[in-house]
Amino acid sequence: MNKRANRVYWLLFIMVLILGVSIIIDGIRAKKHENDNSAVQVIETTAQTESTTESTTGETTTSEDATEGTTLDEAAANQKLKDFYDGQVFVGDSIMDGFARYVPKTEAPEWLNNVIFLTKVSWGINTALDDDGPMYQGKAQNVCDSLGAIKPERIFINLGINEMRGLGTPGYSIEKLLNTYGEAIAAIKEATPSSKIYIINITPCTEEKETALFSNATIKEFNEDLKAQCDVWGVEYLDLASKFGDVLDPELSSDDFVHHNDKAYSEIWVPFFRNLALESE
Amino acid sequence: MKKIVKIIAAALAVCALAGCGGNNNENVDIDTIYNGISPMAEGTLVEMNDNYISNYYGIDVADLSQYVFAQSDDPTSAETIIIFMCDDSEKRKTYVEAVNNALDQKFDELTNYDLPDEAKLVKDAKVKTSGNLVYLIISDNADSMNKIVKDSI
Repeated sequence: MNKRANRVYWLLFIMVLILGVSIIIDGIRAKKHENDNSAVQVIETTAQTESTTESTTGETTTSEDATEGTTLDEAAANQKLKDFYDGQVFVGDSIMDGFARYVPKTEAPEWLNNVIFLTKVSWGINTALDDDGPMYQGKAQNVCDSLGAIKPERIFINLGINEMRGLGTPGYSIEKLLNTYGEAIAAIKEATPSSKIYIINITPCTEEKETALFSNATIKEFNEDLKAQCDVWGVEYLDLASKFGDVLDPELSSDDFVHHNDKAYSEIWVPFFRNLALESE
Repeated sequence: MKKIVKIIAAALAVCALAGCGGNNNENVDIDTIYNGISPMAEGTLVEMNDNYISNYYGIDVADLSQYVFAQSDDPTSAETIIIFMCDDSEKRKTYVEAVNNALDQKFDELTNYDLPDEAKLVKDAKVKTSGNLVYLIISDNADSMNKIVKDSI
């Protein structure tokens, strides 16, 4: 009996010892972590002080702008823009995906904050209805399933740049590509019949990257046929490409080829979509 | 009396082995970690907003106590830093699955775009968990960044 009791007390003693050691170790780790954080915080505080100095200058400009420019009309315009784009869907390939990555930046307008992007890099007209389409709600899925679940008032689609390369090859034509585009539009309409669909035309590539199989002449020809086809499909054609001119200025490109940079998004895309909303009924 | 002593001993053992409170990363500050590793990124990172996180990953940020979802502003770059803390284990499991799906999607995108070096970065990346903390780093400097995250938790 005494032996058993002794064993239990020893066991208890060992447990208390383990607990004590673990508490001490935890304490040391927490202290170390605190020290590490304070070191980083010192650096952050320095950075914040610098940015505060900058923002003080910035604030002066902002308040001047506000005094001069903020009118009731501007507030109404911002509200109209927000109402027009909140919860609406932008569908597209890497060029649209670049826009999705521009929108969270501080320089982007707030009225784009609640746009839903269904984008996939290297996606296109020929793969538009694939089951492993853009990510939505944590899953790569058919774009029609995503749009059918969202049922937005407006859908803005920009696809086709990835198919421009092959248009000069035998058996591969603008007509065939537009037929496939039409099938995708029909499927989207079936998934969400009350949504208004806008088709954004294909923007140009830089002159220096043009080849016999990938040229701005082909893009222009495709856009002309796309415009005519949009009437047949009963969707609205949006001419974003002409805002870039006949060729893509390398200053507006992130890769000197077809992709757009922040300058392109802020100076061309944003005003384009701003005007579209403000000119709408 | 003996029973009571045994129960106390068992409770103490569980408490000691679990590190007294479990690995809930109470002292971890994700902003501090992110500010420490983001300068090591090769490109320009952009922190995605709550609306994007919800629509793309299906993650409700209200379920996260801390988080950062950053990716390169260049769609042809794989570079990504995701760190978040989710106390609800069931939701955490779902969210880890969503991030893994995004990882697969990114691999497909970059492979189809014929960017093998970027695709390899994605292939080498793994979603890691430590208690309630989940992180994924895709970068040329992923090894160094992962080590910093690991040492911070």
